[in-house]
Amino acid sequence: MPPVINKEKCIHCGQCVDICPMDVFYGSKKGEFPIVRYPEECWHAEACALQCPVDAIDFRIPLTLIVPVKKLPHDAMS
Amino acid sequence: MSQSQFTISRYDTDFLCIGGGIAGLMAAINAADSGLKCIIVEKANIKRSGSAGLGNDHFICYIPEVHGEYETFIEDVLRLQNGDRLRQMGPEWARKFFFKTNEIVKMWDAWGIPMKHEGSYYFAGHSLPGRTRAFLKYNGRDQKSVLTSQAKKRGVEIHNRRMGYELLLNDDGSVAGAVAVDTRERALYVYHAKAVLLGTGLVNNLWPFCSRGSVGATPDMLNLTADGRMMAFRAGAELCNLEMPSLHSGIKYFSRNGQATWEGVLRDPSGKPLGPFLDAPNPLYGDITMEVRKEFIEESNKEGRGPIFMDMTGLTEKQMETMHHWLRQEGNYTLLRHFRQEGVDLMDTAVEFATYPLLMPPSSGIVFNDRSETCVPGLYAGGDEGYGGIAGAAVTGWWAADAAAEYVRNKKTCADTDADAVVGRVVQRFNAMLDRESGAHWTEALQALQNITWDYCGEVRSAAGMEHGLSHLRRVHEHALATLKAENPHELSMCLGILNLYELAELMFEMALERRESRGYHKRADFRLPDLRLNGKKHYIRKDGNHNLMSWR
Repeated sequence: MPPVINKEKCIHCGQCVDICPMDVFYGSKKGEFPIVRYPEECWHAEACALQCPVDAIDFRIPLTLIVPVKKLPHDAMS
Repeated sequence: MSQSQFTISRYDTDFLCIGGGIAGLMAAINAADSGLKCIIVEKANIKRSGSAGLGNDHFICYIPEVHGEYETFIEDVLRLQNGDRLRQMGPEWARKFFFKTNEIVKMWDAWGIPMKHEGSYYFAGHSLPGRTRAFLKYNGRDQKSVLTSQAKKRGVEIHNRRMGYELLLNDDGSVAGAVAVDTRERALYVYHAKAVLLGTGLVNNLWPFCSRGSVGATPDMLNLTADGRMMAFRAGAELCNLEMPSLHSGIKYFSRNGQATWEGVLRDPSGKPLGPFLDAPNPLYGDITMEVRKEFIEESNKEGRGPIFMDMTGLTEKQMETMHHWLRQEGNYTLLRHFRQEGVDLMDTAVEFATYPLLMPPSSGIVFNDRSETCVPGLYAGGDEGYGGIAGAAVTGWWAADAAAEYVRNKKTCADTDADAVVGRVVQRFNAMLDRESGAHWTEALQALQNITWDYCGEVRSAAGMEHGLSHLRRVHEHALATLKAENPHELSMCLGILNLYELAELMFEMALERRESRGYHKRADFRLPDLRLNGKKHYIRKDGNHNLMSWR
């Protein structure tokens, strides 16, 4: 579930619901804790987190998006 | 199936912009300055929607006091990524375009989009070492909020969460407005407008994407579905070169556009640079190896020379901090969060890059001239239907409003439009999808489409394969129309977007069959050579009654 909202911090202002370009919070109501109705449609660009006035939104990165990384041998470089 | 289930509201305006992207916003701002009443209809929330919604950091432009002579500038720009696309637009278009970019950079800076870096114009990336740098680095993260404020200040109405679905026509064939559908409520909107701009952006998802998993994990947003292209086509406008795919590359699995924001060197696993341009990071130019040959990374993997990495080793701490700044301006917040969560330090750790699968580029889109006019009177197109990314969208949107202002002043009001017939037809279609007890989900329809485009009109193409594939696609399309089920207005808008992709894919098959040659990434197994007689020509398609007419010019 991509956006993960902290229940303690959330003030139910609805700004994440209002801004999301993919409407993953579809059906959530202002004044209530947001529901991530369509997590698989999330584009992972954080429109919601940028908007959140109380920094209540974190992301769980789906397993399919984890980037392969490597420390390259430096001696081969000029 | 009664129409009463949908509430229907009507609006009258001079100029309707469908799609609240850079083109739509710039068009509305310019049109409002000319005294036109404007409404923007936007599928999501205009402040963060579409390809420019989360920001950008590169703006292609010509600034005379930086670049000097235009002739030297354009000669180098034609060598860069998308040079072919620019060549297609023609030298006159290019000159007019680049001189306009200079004005827009200054306008945006004055409005509050910071176009300067540390006090001056800073051009970097997408460049050949030692040659002209044409891409201005700018702070685009909140560009759409700034443009939205400018539009609102001029009285432009913005209608969010409404998907433009069908154009309305007058008896004389000129545009009369559009019908839009709400993405959150069972509501329909009929916009009567003297002129309409289509700026609905890129086409995403026509072919399957390499990283399987979340349906939304594609380089562009999932809701970019050729709505404008198909609205234009159904209204009689021309589309072009739909059979000419393009390729892109970027970070692996966490797929994103914006490769040139990465200021390292592409290297193989032993640390050897993949391309000939750089052996150490050079933020001023960037490593354009993958822009020269997009499939280079995939080829390296297939030949056992991969995996290929973007390696920032060698950047100073300050340069790395600046690169992070640009990555944020480009909308990569979650990617950077991912690296933080994983403890990945880009100072000493390289990230794998990949060639992304086929995509339909902006040059495969609605045909418009240097006033952004289509062949349908009163209908304009802009944005990712041509060349130039953000800059292209800003300029073509602006031009559309110049032309529309003139058109609207001279346009006599027509009494008869096809609005009632269109409303009746679309309400029936929408109700059917919403009221079905059960049926196919839009993701199922999307996957079926992608299987077919990939297998029959993908990397390998032949007449026999495409004829068979097209006939199968039409059959599946019929099934999709008869069985797609939407639980709610959100799912309805996704269904409608996917159906637009089906229609676009069928046109792509038709055009690919007609192009009996191999050129670029259109590779015909049965016509392996380019037909040199087609050099410099574009391939057009438009609706003529129940048939589609194709032509070259």
